[in-house]
Amino acid sequence: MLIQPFDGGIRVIDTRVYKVRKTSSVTLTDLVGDFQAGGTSFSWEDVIKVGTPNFDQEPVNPSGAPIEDTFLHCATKVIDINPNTNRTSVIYTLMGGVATETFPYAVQVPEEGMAQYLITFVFTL
Amino acid sequence: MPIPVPWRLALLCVALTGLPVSNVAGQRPDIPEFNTLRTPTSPAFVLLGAEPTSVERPSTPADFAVSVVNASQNFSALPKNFALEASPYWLAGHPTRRWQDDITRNIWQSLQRTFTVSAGTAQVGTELAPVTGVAISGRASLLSGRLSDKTIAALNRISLLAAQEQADLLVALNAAGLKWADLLLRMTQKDQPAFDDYNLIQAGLAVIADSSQGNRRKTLDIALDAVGRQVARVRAMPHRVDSLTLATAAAEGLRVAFQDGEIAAPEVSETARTALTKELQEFASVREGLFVELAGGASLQAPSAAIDSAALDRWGGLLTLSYQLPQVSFIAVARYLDAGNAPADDAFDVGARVLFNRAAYALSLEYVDRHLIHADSAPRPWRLAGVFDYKVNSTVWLTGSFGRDYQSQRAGSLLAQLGVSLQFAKDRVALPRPGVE
Repeated sequence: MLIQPFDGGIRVIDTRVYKVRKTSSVTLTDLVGDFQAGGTSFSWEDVIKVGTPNFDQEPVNPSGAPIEDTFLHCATKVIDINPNTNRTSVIYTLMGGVATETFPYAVQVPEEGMAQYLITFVFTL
Repeated sequence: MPIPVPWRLALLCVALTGLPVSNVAGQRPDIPEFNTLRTPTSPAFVLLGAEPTSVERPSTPADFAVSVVNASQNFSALPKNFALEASPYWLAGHPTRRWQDDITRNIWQSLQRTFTVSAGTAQVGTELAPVTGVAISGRASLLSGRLSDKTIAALNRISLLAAQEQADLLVALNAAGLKWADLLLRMTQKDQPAFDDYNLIQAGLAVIADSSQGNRRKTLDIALDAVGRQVARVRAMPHRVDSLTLATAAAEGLRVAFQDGEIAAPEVSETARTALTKELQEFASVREGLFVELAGGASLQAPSAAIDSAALDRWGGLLTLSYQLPQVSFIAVARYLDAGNAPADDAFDVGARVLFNRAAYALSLEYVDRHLIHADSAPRPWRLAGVFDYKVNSTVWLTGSFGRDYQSQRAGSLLAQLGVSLQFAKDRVALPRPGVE
């Protein structure tokens, strides 16, 4: 995992493997925690989906579309609106593969700053 | 003087020692005002009679431990001139709690999320007769209203704009060369070193796509090195010639992007980012409705910092009820003070305040009735004060107060102040300047 400061915030970049089957239909759920505000979008195979503002079991690959050896790029921006803490966190949950897996991330940002999470999931057999 | 070992843990758990307000011989100590009608942020500091120049506010358990260890010299002595304030609930992370989970709170949630403990020490007395005082206090809300409808609407807008801005970022990342980075990773063995270099390449692409400043050139150079390592991994694996040609083209595309530091594509939309920046500049989190707040504290005096000689000096409690609406607030308070060595100052106050606020001005009126428990003074002291604030412009406020303090015969009991408040706050969010190196 890579932590990269930028103007007014912190960027978290990571790449994770998620095991799938040839016929898997994968869904994504994301949760912005620590009472902060945030939104997520993702891209998969040239298709970009915008969160409303987050995803709840959102299908990644349309039914039947092969998913092996493809990449899911998730981008989440979390803004520190909670005056009690500068902690930000996101939990990504992928379902539909070999097993349901959660991928939690957390980072402390400057006062009233923001965090940007760029997480790539590599789908492998 | 070192603290005996058995006392150190006790101090950590419930350090109910105390200190009176410093006083010159012959003068009675003033009864602490508890910052008029509002519960003071740190009742301990009010009981201590000291305004600390700096207050440690640890935000993690590790920070809290370091503060206490450093101040007490590894638990070997009473800290000197130390002030600390902590909210236990917020020392820990809450990754499964969304902001929507805080729109309303039940009593237990309110207590958890508002409980704050503060502690302070100060050196009082004289050089010949030094006295160390320690005070501790706690405050919490049984009820803490709900997020206002305006705040909820703003948070929904902010979250949606954040999601749209990330979609724009993904478009920009693709334009900057994310597909080339994906191709190189796809052709390597997917192990941690390959993922680490892929992350470095993404960091370079993010700097280009997001128009980030900071260590821009350094980040791009590191990304360039990562591309080189990734290409070497690809070449080390068996591939068809056309695949290797594709990988070489991908690497070349990334190298050009990192050397130029520009997006090789039409400009990406800045609409969401601009709208989000504007929303954040205007955002304020407001809770409305019924609030019930409790606070209490105690102070101890320890001559020559000798723990065995420490004695309870003053203690007090406060109950505040308030109802907050968008432009008007009603506050009622009851508070008790046991002034310890000055029993004539033991007092029970009951008061009320009403506050009107608009964008450009605020008016408030406050009345407090004081009952001195051991004094038969007649008439009973009371306080009446009016305060106004007027916004002259975005950085200047005119502020004034008028009224009478508790004992009208006493010098200084007439309240009449007029002043100017100048604000130099930074912008909440720096406006982006794309394309500027």
